[in-house]
Amino acid sequence: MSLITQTAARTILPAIVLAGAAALVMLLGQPFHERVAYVFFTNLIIVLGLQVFMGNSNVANLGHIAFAGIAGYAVAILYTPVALKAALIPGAPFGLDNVALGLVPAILVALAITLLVALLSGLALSRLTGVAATIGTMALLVIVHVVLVNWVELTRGPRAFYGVPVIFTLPWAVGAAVIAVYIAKLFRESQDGIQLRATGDNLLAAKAMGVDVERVRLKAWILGAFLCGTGGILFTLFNGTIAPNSFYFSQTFLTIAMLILGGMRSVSGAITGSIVVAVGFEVFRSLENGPVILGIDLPEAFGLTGFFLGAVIVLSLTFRPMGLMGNDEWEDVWPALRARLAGRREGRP
Amino acid sequence: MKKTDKTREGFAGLATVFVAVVAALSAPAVAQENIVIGYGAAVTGPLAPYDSPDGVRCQVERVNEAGGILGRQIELVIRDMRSDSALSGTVALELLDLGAVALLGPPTDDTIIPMAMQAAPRGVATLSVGGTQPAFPVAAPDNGYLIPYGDNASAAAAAEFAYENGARTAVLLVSHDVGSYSLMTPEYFAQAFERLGGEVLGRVNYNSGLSDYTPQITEIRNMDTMPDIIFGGMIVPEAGVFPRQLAAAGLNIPVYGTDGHDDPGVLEIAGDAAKLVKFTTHGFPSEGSALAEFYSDCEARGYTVQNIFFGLGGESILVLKAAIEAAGSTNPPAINAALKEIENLPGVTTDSITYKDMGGIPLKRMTMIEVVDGAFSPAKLVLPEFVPAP
Repeated sequence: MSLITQTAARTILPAIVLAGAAALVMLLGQPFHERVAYVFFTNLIIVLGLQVFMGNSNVANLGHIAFAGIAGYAVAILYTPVALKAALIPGAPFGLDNVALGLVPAILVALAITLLVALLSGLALSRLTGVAATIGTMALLVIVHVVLVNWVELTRGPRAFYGVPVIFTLPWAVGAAVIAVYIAKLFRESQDGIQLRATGDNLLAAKAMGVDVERVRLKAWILGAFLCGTGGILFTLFNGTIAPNSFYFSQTFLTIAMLILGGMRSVSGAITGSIVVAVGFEVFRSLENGPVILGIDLPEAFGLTGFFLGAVIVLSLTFRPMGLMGNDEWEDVWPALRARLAGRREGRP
Repeated sequence: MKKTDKTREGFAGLATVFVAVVAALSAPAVAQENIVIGYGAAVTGPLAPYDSPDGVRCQVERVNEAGGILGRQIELVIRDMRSDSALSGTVALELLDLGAVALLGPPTDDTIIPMAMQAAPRGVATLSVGGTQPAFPVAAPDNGYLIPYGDNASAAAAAEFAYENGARTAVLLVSHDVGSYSLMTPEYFAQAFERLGGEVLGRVNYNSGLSDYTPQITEIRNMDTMPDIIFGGMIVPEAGVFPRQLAAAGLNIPVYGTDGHDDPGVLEIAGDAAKLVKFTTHGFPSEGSALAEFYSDCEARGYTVQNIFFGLGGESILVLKAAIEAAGSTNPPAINAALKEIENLPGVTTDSITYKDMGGIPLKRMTMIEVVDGAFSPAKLVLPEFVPAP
């Protein structure tokens, strides 16, 4: 079986889980639950983008949200109707206030801009290792943020960019997320992915074996940026309102927490972490509002969700430093468990 | 064996909690006869200091004790939107499904516009409890309102006050760091000041939160003519640091601003130089004022008054009460329409609030504050004659 069909087969389980969860929400949930689910899927796509680079290369990345921001703003500026742009960004540079593209061209151009920035930044960042690389990625985030905040004529600066047409609904997000899972899995199992994971495990050994570290890192960086950009576009064309703060530290840390919790080494880790945090957030959010449970009127306790996120990270780092999934994909869990049990039966440790 | 039992018990407990949570989510949480007001508040996150669930709660308590609205009790439902733009729209939808007839919301345009977007199809009015950015009502012209004045009005009030006190020239301090507050407020001031006949000598860029403003002070010192005043949309700490260093440099030029200066930190940081500071704010708890009465009553009820947003929270309920009573019903579009007609309503922070023909940004009588003997002191009440377009 070729890698492409093999990966497609390995994507079936997560696709069923994700689509099933979305179907449950649409059938049983209230309208606001659909919004919660949609935001979950955009976050998942961003976390997958983060996993592609950070998980495989083992280089901590704090800059991925920059690509969501670039793509989100690009699509907002390109796709918002001209009549509204006359009020929002009159006299925008490059005559952009007089131009509005169709949906598909706007998305394609936004992704192209994102990929260009990814290529340019990646050329520099792929040469860095360790702390320098991490600081470099964070610098990218800060640079993009500062540009978004200060290029007032184009982005409205710190003020919200609103009135972006709301296009996407939950099924679109599910479709995009399943494709993103497939892409992330395909990269992980590809030759580049395996080489990149080798550089993450032991950089010198990988180099000695002839791995072109910069080239595989650059590929992963660009692919990750593509996924993060997609997430940013999906968010923008759903929320209708964006601001530079939508794509900054709080979003960065939330998505990194999801990835670390689930386990950044595997694609399933990214999915697991996203699900646990999103479900946990929603459960704790309903608890903090002081509901009546089994006749007991619970007190309002705002801040529980923040507490939950902190607790879950501390616990997972303490008891499962590699994340919930460790090195495994979902489909590896059962065979690995069986092998371990078989080993125990035979008296092996 | 024992361990397995325990695990099983754990799972059973977890399952019970989960089922209960689901049940609680779907249970109708609201009695029919109450008037439900939804509040998507920034209880946590970076916007929390600029929102005031407690001020709103306290006023709801007071109104309910006095007989409620149209003889019905108010039921306040608060949801934390964690200062997050997307969650803001989500809690708005949740609150609307719980039967909210009007929504209160967070202070920044990017967090409250998504709320108003969800509320618009049902004609539900959406009010920003602490937001002063005129951009929000402009973005949601049908159902978006501010409770505070707009930055355009407060800057205009500062301009009138400065001009009355003899100022004819001004330098603007401009920054991109504190949203539109530090960026746009000086421009509103310039419009009002120039209309009165004042002159803006120049604009000086700065960054928020620094401990050294020597470059800016040097830039002002090197100007051909010294300005009569300096205006900026500053917040703590620079609202205190800048005047202190200005005075230390021997330039005793008054520094004007708006509610970003309304923080006791300014007095502590600026020290003696605080006497240079003059600013517009929402109100001042002078003895006998409605604000002082509200503060003391709420403190007696066990609330802690943090800042002026507490008073604005109280004001938001009075505005809704007036609108619902004028509408004579709890039909959301009727409330929304009645809100647009409010004129000269006495509030908590001020004695006059007008929404009629103001496009969602209320015209309010504002308080000019100066520093006397190291303490904030109300200098004048101003209802500006000219308000720059948002």
